Amino acid sequence: MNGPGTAPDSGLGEETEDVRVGVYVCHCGGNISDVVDVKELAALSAEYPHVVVAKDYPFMCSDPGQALIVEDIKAHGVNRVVVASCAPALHEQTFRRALQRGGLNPYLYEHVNIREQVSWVHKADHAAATRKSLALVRAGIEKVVRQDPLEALRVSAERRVAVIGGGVAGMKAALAAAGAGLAVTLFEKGPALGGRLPELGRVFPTEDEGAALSRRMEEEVRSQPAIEVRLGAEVRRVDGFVGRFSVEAGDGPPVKAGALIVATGYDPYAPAPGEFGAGGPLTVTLPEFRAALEGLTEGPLLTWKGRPIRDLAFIHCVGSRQVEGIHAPQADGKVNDYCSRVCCTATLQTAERVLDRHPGTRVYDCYRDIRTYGRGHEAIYERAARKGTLFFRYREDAPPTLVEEGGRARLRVKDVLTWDTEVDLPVDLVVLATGMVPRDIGALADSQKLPRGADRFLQEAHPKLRPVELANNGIFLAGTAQAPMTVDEACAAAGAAASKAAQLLLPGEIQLDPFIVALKPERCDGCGACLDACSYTGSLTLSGEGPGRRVEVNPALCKGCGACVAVCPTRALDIAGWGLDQFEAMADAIAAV
Amino acid sequence: MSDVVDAGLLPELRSYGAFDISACFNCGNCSAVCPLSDGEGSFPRRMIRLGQLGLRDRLLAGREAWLCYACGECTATCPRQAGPSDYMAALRRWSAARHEPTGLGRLMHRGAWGVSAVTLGLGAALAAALLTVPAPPSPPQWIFRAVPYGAIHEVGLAVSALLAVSLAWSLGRFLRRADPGFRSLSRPLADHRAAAKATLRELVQLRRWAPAAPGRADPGSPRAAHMLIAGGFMALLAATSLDFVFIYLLKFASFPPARVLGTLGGAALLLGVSAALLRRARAADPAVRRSHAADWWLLGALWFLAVSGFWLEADVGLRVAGAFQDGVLLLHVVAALELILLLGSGKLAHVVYRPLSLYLHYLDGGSASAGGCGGAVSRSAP
Repeated sequence: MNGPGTAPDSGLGEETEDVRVGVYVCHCGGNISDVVDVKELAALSAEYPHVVVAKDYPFMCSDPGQALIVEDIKAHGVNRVVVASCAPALHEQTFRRALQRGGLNPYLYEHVNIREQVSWVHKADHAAATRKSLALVRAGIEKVVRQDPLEALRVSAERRVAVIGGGVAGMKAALAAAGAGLAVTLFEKGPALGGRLPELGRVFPTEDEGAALSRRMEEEVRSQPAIEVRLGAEVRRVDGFVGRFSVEAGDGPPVKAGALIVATGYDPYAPAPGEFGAGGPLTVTLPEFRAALEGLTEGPLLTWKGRPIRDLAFIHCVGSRQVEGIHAPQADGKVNDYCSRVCCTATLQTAERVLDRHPGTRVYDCYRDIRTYGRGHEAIYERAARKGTLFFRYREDAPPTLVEEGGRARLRVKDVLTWDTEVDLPVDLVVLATGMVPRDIGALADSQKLPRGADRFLQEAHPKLRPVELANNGIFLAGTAQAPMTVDEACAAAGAAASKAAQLLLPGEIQLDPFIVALKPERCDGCGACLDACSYTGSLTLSGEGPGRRVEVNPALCKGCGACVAVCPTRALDIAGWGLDQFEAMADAIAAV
Repeated sequence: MSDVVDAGLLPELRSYGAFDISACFNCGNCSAVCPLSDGEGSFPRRMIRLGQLGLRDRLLAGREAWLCYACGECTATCPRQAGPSDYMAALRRWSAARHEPTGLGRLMHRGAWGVSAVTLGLGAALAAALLTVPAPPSPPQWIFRAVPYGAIHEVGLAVSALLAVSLAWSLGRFLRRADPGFRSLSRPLADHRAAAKATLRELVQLRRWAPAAPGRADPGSPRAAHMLIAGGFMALLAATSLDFVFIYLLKFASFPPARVLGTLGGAALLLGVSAALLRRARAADPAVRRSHAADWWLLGALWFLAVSGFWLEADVGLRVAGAFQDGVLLLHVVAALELILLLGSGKLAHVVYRPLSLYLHYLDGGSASAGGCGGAVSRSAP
């Protein structure tokens, strides 16, 4: 058995044990067997060296399928397993657990994908598909016979989570994490908790006052002894790794935390001067308008900055769903091509509010598409429409423009609903439904190299399988730092992030995949080429002086990417479970078919 | 020059009976199911959109409102319960009221009180005229004791003259918009002949009402009721005209063919109107699920006209006389004259606008959307 950071020995070289491989070919209920000749594949596999048993079965992932493996381990002394089936993302863990149940080390397993990589893509040529499957299975056998038993890495974990950002998502994450039993430090760079929530006016679909909601949450946060709130604490630097982060923020001492929850929020889109008339006296952004609306005196007509507003228009998609070649790029040269998701419902809710409070004001709504997707949102559209909002639809390449005619401002719209006819809306005020843009969180993002999507928001590891996790171990996402979302969605994400953090930290110890770099110290000459190649700062360090200088591996930070292996001139580095000797044998096996 | 949106029209149309149209979100289901929509016409969605935008001139220039038979398919199909059929009816009332010069139409459509004010005011004026106009001595027939026969014709002539002036004015205004520059006049005579023929056939047969089943009319159907009412109306008009010619001008003592025609017409009218009233009272189908006060007024007046007509027939036959009979005669004549006076202002206006619209429609080749609205609005997007 090998601990982290030392080289695995080649199991094959020493011949200390009798290597007995079991190969299992899955039909996937026809997904595979309709194209690949699974019987022949199993038969040919059985003839390969070290293979003691080869079987095919309709669903290997089913309980009886898994039982086949467990039985063969016991009956035939199988001590290496290859399953040829679907993508490893689906069932690799399933079969590793089956090995464990049979009393084998779960890493003495190789998963060969003959569904996505063979049967789904080679439907036309069954013979060639079977041949390719055989090549892949043989490569898997060659790999697994050289596989060593590995142990998951364990690092001790701080049972504290650092929540960065004291808005609605941050507060919710802090409360949820504290409720689950973690200690929490909540960092807020501003002077007060609440973030943008107090400015949102009435938040849909519950129509709660944002400010009241914020106060209520803050009271809960303050009364929770497990939460330490640090105001005026902008994060300067984050060091460390999962289980042992160190967060420096504001004037306080660094805080040790086992995990981070990034709840840094969004910025409202700031329209460029002249964009839809922005900057002029006739326009206001939706967030500004909403912040002010509830404070205006009710009456037949809305009054804005001393002017009676008889005709009020909203324009959707300002700064969102931009199209390259049509919209001016943002500072980084890209357009905001994403949908900001909240503005449609927020706009309609505002329209309804205006109509309720100022029944004499006429409301026009210029949209590209109405996306009132959430529970209860469509009802808001319905009410705004029935109360008299008049809708116009514009195409992205013909945005509404402000013109002046007959001494009155007009919004000129090429209206899709009127057969692309140009119509003029008399307007006294135009509300621009500006969306959300990702926020600059420089120090935090830089010191941990947080991944961003093409839209510049922080990007989760997988939208379905790992929706609130970053690829960085131990860093979770809560709220609009990840993508535009509503208050309720931000709260849901915050709760998920908190429970992920709790799941990670509560055992006090963290298990990590063992596929990390392994060093053969006797081969290392301390040249340091690997440090330059490494993308994960701190995974590799040099220690010692002169000829005694050697690389050291920090297993908690290493991702096992193999960049260092490729540049090492002395082959002192290897990835546990993915050794160079294994790759060579796999390539030979494939070439031989 | 772009069209300027006027959101004030929709509330106005609502008072004419487009009760739920604010719910419309322009999906176009109404156009998809409308038997009159021909693919390019977007009928009646286009009229609804024009109403939402408040483009009054484009609406008034259109003849589509008058081509609609209120079959109610659109209202039955509308996913938003916006009642497009009610909207089209409201659009007809509004258009008629906008075209006619007296302003009575606008007053009529201010709901129940407007209808009552017009009916009672006009009725009082007509009754006063009937009772006071100096008339040549009536033939010695007992039924014309209080309301002299001559007075009926004098006042009737005056009312008809008023109607003629008002209609000429209204139709002039309509045609100026619906047929800009009176371009149709320059069309070859053959086109006019064909259009006239098609119009006449349609007016009698109402084939476009139910293009799916163009066969015999179901006697309980709204289409049959409409045929009965229209036929009865025409028969009564003919009977009255014959009476006028033979008895008033040619001094016949009596003219039985007119009597027979009038009796048949009255029966048809009574049957049709009763069916229509029942349909409305039951809100039997989508086209009549909501009724405007003016709808009730028209049907009520027609029904009264028919019933009181038969009452008077019976009086004549049984030689009954008295103050009550005098009253019935007075009310009967007042109702008839009111209907004539208000012909151009309310629902009955379709009697003139529909034939004219159909005529222009056939003259333009028979597409539901052809002409009228002009410009890009009349054509769907590519």
